[in-house]
Amino acid sequence: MRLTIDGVVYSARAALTVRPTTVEREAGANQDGTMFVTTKPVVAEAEITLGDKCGLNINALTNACRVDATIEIIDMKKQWLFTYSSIVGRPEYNTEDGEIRGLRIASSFAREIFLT
Amino acid sequence: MSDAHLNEAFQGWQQPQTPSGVGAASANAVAAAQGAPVNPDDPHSVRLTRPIDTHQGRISVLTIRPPKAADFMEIGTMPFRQRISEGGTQVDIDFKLAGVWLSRLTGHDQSILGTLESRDFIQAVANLMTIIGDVGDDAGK
Repeated sequence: MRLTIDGVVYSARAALTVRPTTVEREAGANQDGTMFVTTKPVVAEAEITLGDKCGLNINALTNACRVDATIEIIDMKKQWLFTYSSIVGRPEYNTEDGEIRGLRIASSFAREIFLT
Repeated sequence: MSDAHLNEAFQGWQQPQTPSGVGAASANAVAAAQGAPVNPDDPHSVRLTRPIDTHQGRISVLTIRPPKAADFMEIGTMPFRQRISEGGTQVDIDFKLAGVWLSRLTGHDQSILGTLESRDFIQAVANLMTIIGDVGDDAGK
């Protein structure tokens, strides 16, 4: 897996969790037993866990605005494109192993690209 | 890839005959966006044999902007070295570094550029060398 945010390649320490859709639907039941569905807009998100490295500036990452993030799943020949995204969440930094968790890529424009 | 194939791809770099300048690049990029034919002699535009998906949508023309001082200072080195010997001129290309330059000058990250067809990437590298070479030719004038 390869993670690129605003042109900078980051090392993902753990598996990413991608929520690519921009709507969330819930189903409910009417009194007569028929189903209704509600749709709520949400932002597409990807939870990321990074590995620290020399020169990695967490403040610059979290202050970035409208950046493009590309998540490439190499073995699946697939890319997720989060366009005009922001990095949200509160990063937590583990000094023992350099793991940085708690960050999410959020965007209202997310696409899945299948590579040939 | 054979040396002959590479030499053919970089023929334009060895004898650059292309117009340079921001005006030509901008006009060509606008023309490409509108679906008009791209000037094949303009190194700032690369017509792709296979379109790629980017954050700006699917593109069939890769636009390479002129480099600025910040590009040279932050990347730090050129993507190619030219060696002149008795047998002629040989160009050593660092494709990894060329990818860094292209990512910076096109605005597309390397994961996106990695989906280019090989021939399109090689053409883009050749155009990049022409663009950087033009900068060197213009320096001091």
